[in-house]
Amino acid sequence: MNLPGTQDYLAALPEIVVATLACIVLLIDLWSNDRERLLTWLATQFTLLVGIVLIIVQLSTDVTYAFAGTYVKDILSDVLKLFIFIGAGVAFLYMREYLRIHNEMKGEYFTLGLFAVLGMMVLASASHMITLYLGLELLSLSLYALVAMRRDSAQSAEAAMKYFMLGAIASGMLLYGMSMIYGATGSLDLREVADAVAQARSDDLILIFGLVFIVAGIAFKLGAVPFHMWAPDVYQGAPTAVTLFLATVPKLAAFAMLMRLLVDGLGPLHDQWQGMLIILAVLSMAIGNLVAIAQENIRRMLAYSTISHVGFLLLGVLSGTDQGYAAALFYTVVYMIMGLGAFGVLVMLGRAGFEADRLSDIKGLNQRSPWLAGVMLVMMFSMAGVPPFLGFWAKFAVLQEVVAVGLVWLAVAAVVFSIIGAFYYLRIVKLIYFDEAEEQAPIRGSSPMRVMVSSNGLVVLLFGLFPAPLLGICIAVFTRIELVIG
Amino acid sequence: MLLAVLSGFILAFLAPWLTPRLGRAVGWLFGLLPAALFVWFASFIPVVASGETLLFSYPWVPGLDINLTFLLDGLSLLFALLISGIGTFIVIYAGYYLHGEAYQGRFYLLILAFMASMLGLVLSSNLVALFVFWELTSITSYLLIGYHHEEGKARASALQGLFVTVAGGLALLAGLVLLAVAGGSYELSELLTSGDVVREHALYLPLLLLILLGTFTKSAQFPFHFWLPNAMAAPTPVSAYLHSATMVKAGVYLMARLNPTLGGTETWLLLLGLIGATTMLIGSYMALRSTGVKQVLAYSTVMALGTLTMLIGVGTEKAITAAVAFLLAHSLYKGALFMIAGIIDHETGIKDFRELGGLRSAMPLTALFAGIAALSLAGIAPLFGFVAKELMFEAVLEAPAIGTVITLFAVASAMMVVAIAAVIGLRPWFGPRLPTKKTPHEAPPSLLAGPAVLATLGLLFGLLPMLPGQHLLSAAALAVAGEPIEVYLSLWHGFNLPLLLSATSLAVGLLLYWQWSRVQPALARLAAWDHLGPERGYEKVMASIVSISDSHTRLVQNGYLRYYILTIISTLLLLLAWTILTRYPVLPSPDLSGIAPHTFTILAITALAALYAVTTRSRLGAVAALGALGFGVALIYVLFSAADVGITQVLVETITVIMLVLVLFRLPGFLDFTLSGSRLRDGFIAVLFGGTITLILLMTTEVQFFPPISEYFIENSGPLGHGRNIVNVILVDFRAIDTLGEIFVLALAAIGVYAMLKLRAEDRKS
Amino acid sequence: MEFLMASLVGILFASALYMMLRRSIVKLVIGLVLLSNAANLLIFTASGLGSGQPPLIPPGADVPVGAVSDPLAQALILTAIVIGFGVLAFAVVLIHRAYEVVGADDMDQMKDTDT
Repeated sequence: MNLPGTQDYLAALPEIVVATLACIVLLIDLWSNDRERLLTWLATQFTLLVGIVLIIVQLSTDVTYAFAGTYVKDILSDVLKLFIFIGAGVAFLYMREYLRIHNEMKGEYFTLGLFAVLGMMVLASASHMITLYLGLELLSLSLYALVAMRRDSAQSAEAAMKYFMLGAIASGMLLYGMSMIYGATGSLDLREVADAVAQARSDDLILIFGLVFIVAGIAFKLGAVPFHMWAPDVYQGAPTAVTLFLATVPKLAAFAMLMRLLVDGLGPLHDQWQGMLIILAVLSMAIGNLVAIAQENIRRMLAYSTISHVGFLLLGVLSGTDQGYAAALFYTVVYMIMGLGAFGVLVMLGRAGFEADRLSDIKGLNQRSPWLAGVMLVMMFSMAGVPPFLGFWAKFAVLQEVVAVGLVWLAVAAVVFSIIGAFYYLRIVKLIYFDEAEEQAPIRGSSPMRVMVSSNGLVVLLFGLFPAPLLGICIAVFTRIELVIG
Repeated sequence: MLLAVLSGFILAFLAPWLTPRLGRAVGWLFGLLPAALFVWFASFIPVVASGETLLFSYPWVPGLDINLTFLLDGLSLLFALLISGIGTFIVIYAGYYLHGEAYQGRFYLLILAFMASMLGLVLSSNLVALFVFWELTSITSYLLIGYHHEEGKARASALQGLFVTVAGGLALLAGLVLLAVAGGSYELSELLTSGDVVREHALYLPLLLLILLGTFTKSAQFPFHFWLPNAMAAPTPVSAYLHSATMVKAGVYLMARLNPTLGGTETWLLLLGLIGATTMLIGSYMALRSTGVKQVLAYSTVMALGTLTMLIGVGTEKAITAAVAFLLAHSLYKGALFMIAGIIDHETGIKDFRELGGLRSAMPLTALFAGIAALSLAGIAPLFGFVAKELMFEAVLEAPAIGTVITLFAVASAMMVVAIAAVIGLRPWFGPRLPTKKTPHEAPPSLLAGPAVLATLGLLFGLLPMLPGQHLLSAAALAVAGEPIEVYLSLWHGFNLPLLLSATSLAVGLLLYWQWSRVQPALARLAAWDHLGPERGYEKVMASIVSISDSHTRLVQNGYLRYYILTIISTLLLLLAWTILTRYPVLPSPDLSGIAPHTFTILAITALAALYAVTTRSRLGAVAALGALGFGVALIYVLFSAADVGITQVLVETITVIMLVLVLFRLPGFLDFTLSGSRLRDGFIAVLFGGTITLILLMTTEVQFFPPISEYFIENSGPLGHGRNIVNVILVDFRAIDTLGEIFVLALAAIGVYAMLKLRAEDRKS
Repeated sequence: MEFLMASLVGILFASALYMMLRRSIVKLVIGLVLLSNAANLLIFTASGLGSGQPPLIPPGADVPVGAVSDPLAQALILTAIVIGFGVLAFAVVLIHRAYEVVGADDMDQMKDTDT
């Protein structure tokens, strides 16, 4: 521990640069008169690009702790940030299209989005509970504001209210849990906490209490049952482009939270949190899949679908092995790609003042646009876990790890719930291909949008056929961490 | 080998582009690929017949240790030949049948991809690769049905068929993962020799059930048989054929393939034997009951699948020989019959046996081949179907444990099959000529090629049963059994019990056909009882899921924020209570000594302020109470040596109160909405929550394992940070990055506020 | 001493929760203010009520004389107070906006998304 020096600033360079550029984007937006906000948008994408370059330049398997141990730059944080940048870039592209279609173009969408990205970066690199809390607040506040951004909409304000109130309670829980951990271990530095916890197992009641609160806080951010009630209301109430963003990329940050808090900090308590995560996972898969079937609103349905995916993601984490974490990371990334694609199609179906989100809105999509129908088909099959699409490999990898640690019943339960879940994904496919279109309006959409949605579909198919590169990255992240520590 | 499997996919993706450019010859040209594959696979017959097993391996997903491994032995070779051989005729057939249809290109895409997936499925040695191809066949065949969907029934059943197969597929996936755990490998080539380990493994039963769930749904076994004929609502006989005679055999293939690993146990025998026999009986009963040309063929396929499952379950030498023979026989005659059904539809426009008759003169060749194929279906000498049926009777007669039951089932089924065969082979061609929508002509060569070749082969193999028997079928039987078995096929077995059973079923079957116009309606009336069947069960399960979902929405997801909060807090309380109760902690004892009076006063005032803010009906009063509370808290910080915190609190509190006064007064005054009952409930939960927090907090302060690790900051603030206020040094030096983050959070809150206010301004404008 | 402080924190949490369970939007804000105060006090108590002096270094010394209370916990609370304020400011505006759009001080009017 020393006062911050050059190497500290270097380690946090991506964050510092993104923060600076985010402020510049804010200024650009304030002074720009452009109704299309092209400059703001370009500057936003440029920021993400710079971030990607910086990460790649500094990419290494070394673990660097910076700022008196509050900050860590390791391969996990690098890879997470890369995926965050890529996911956010795609989301902003969809977002711009949405805002144009709905005549809601405002620069704040992008600046708030950038701040959310910054928050996620901090979460990915936090090695101290205060830092983590800061990152979380940065992310959450941006998301609350984004949800409330739709004009003339009671739904949007209402969704923001609910999200905010429940989010505040969850942050409170997290903070409470952290202070109990502090009370028990005397530290907030995750490495020191881990050391202290490893010695303090005999009388660990306070730790367990702290753990309960922390797990509850994370579960809320992930949207795991029974802390999921915000998800359907927010997914439905927020503008589709915001739902698209908040349903996908922040899951990576939530995964980072899981890794940093539960694995890095409270890893020695694995036996304790494994049980809690099992409950959360089973409930999430059950409620998510069962309830999705009755939804008439696609965004609500996708909210429940997300809840069930979160259950699957937790399965990988609770296995407690490096392979399990790798599978969970893979699942998170795959989920993000699929979610972006599915919501991207919904964005394309909307028009000014009309959100296409009822099941009836996609009936007969195949007659209106076979290509878009094909993309949606790929997304739905992938989400259901049908090969040769990417989603299959994610489910497969997780199941394999759960079985490998001997939780066979859990794997079987997961499959049973996936079977139930397959029903509503396949129903969408059926509506697209077998029903008569009720909506006849032509589907417009700018060419970048078309290219993006198409490549999103292709990625799910191609990585499904050749999953090795993506999966290889996720596995490398955890095996190299192991090498460095051990 | 990789090229052999992938070539179908490659051509498939070129098909939409090529089809319009090739014109009329498209079917014949595309047919070259499966034909070439057939010849290529056929060249392996001598090697495989000598008992050799060929393995081809290509890397695929190294991260999960999955390779694309192909295994060529008798079983996979038999299937590969059937798929590529019959596929050739189907492709040629479709070239004429679908000529001029707008979707012909996409149809070729799907059918070639389907064929390639089937090849991949039967050749894969890796379980995961096998599963991938397995689901690919589901998807492509589903999309094949999706073409003609003007019929309402097709639309309703499309989802059902897909759901049943995909659901079964997922179960299969779980089963395969468990199998890999039990057998220690994902490679079939290794699993086939580790059958003893797998059968003894604790996971044997669950993995068996899961795998069978997958194969039974795919191969339409009872109680999942309902989806297959529903999916038959697709009008093209080509896709219907694929759906019934090729894809559904995938389930049978997998059971046969895994027989050395999983078979031989009582569970295997009972499950496969009994369910197979039941399916066989139900299939032939349903076929006899139906009148639609495709329905009859589809249900007779269900019958055949049941028979195969039953034979694999029985698992004796005879049964396995019978299974491979029956498999070949069925593929030949059913392929021919489906294509003939297409010809009838194409030439007459009629899809129902009741409206067909006397076509013999108009299309003599078609009638001839239909007759030959039907004879094979009925199992009448000298067709290959007869050889297979005799073997089947021999096998069930000597089956262990369940022999009597399945023999009865088999005989009953055989009787009905004879009647069905007669309906197919005689009714459309003989008797008075019935009026047709179109004037029927003899089918063109591209339509007739398939039925001609397949029906003739059925006759040839019947006359010379050892022609397929000594090479292909013996190798296939070897692969299914996992050990060498002697395959001897012959047309004539002498006068014995199986022949007697055949004769009886032939006689009764012909009787049934003679009375078909009475028997069929009588059986059809039994359809009223179908609501007790498994299809109804499927609907009931779906309905109950929807009602679970509805009640969840009403109870939990009801849109009321406060109930969400209540749920979350209650969950948390339950979790905490459970932890406390299961661990019997030492309850902290209140220690009230040494409290200065002024401290007590401040604490009491703070608490009272909070209570006043809760109970007052005046907004101003509430805000004032909040102010008092804030300053009380600030005093507490100062009292306990946290001067900096106290000062910050005072500042923040002042701004907060001003802000609240400004904003709250733009909102309406308090209203009493809630009933006293809910107030009591909320109060109870709130007190419980507060109490729990107090309790836990006391425990925290009593049990402190470690001294806080702040010594470093205390010691180094001066020397390193050059500051005397340690808290300040921490904030601006040691943890400066956090403070920067804090500033960002505040800035962000400001942006949020700004955006909200801008929205409001825009509202005003518009 | 800890007992009294813990009771106070409990009372604050109970009041906050009770207010958050009301239908009135205004009461929700009050609940929020109570909650943030409760959380801060809680951290303060959990980190140990220092009986020592304020964490200051007297002039002429390099380290404080005698026991001082935990400076790190104080830094954490400072962070929490400031962030709590930012969040609250945002909340107030958000609630005001919600009131404007919905047009009533009644949370039960806000269940539109549930259809």
